[in-house]
Amino acid sequence: MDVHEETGGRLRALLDDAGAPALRGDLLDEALARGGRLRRRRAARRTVAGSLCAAAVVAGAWAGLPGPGGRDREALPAGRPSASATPTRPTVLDQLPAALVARFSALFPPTAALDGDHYASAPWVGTDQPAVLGGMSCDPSVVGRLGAGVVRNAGVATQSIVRAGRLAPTDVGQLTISRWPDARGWTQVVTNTGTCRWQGVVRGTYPGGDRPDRLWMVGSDDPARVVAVRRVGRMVVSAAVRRETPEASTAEAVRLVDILATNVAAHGWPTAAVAP
Amino acid sequence: MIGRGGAPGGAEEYVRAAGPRLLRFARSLTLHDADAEDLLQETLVRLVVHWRRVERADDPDRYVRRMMVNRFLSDRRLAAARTVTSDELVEAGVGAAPAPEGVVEARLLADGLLATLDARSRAVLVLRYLEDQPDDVVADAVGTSSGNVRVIAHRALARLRPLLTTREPVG
Repeated sequence: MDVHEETGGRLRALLDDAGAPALRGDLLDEALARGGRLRRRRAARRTVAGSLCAAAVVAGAWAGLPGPGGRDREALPAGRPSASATPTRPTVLDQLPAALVARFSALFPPTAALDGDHYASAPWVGTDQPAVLGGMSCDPSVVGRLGAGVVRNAGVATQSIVRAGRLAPTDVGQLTISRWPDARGWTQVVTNTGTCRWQGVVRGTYPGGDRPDRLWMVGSDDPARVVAVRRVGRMVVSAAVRRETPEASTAEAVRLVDILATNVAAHGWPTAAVAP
Repeated sequence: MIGRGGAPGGAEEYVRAAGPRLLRFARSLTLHDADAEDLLQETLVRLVVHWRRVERADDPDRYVRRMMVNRFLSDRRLAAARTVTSDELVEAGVGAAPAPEGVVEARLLADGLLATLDARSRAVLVLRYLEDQPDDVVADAVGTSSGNVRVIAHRALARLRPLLTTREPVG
């Protein structure tokens, strides 16, 4: 047997031994639903375009109608928000099932793991919020309008960490867990192209070296303010931390985001979207 | 017939039947669980959107594999700048790890080996040795000629051979 074919045979045996990864049923459901939505949208565009063309021909106005593939798509009502449109999906905070809130809440580190600090209140769970509390802004004047291809998160849970002070508690950190319909959520966070954008922070190098599933941000005017962000499948977890020194902030942010990532990975979180 | 979420019934049937197999294929291409799920989902969404074309194809599996490989190669080009060197994986998977005794070990070892290859070579070997596809189908999927597939496979196997021969035969 040819030596390379023998190598190929061993590779085949190894791939066989490696087995098949577990497939989550909701992954297929979501793909079918997304594909179905896109099909309907495309069909609606075709229908509207066809109707407009037919009406224009009847009215003798063919010459005035933009050509296919050109600016006519901008004029069509379906499939894309107009320039003045605001995000259409309502916040569904009050519609979130209690069980889901409980599941989100269970992903945060226990108070005992906060090194003497404590949570300001119970976790806040909702949608259409920044993927990273303490580093991003969703102010429409900053973000601009919702563009085509931008995905929204399907649920966000946040916790603020405070330290007891002489007069009042001091805010020393924020933890965020966000859930996305697909990988575009993470891409938007990294490329700063989502509905919420980084504000007051600049990109730095993740402690230990950059990796595709990690992102590090540092306060643009305060190096002791850092944000550690990690991707866990379609979840994005983050820890925004402010301590006395950059070194202390870095160590705490990495520690907290690692706990979040471990909890999310161990939780077997479903991928189906909360919102419609 | 329209199935769940507006997907054609035939598409839903196909997706449910082929999903596990396609995920395995995606996992062997990407070497990463989350990336494999993303690749699978993106491919399936396109499959549903273009179901009429897929259905009309002589061999829907072949069509879908091509969609997935195209997507994988295109994503890899975009991500090339942030691709991590595979030396650590190879050392972990081949040099230091004990002989594979189970699925996890075999997967680690396979990942380590495949990570030494560029995306196109990996796609060629995975199509050949996981999917057992003939060279003309592999060529169609990666967008090259059958002759070039043989050249790519030859070079890739030559690269893997010393890594594999340091171990006892698998299986």
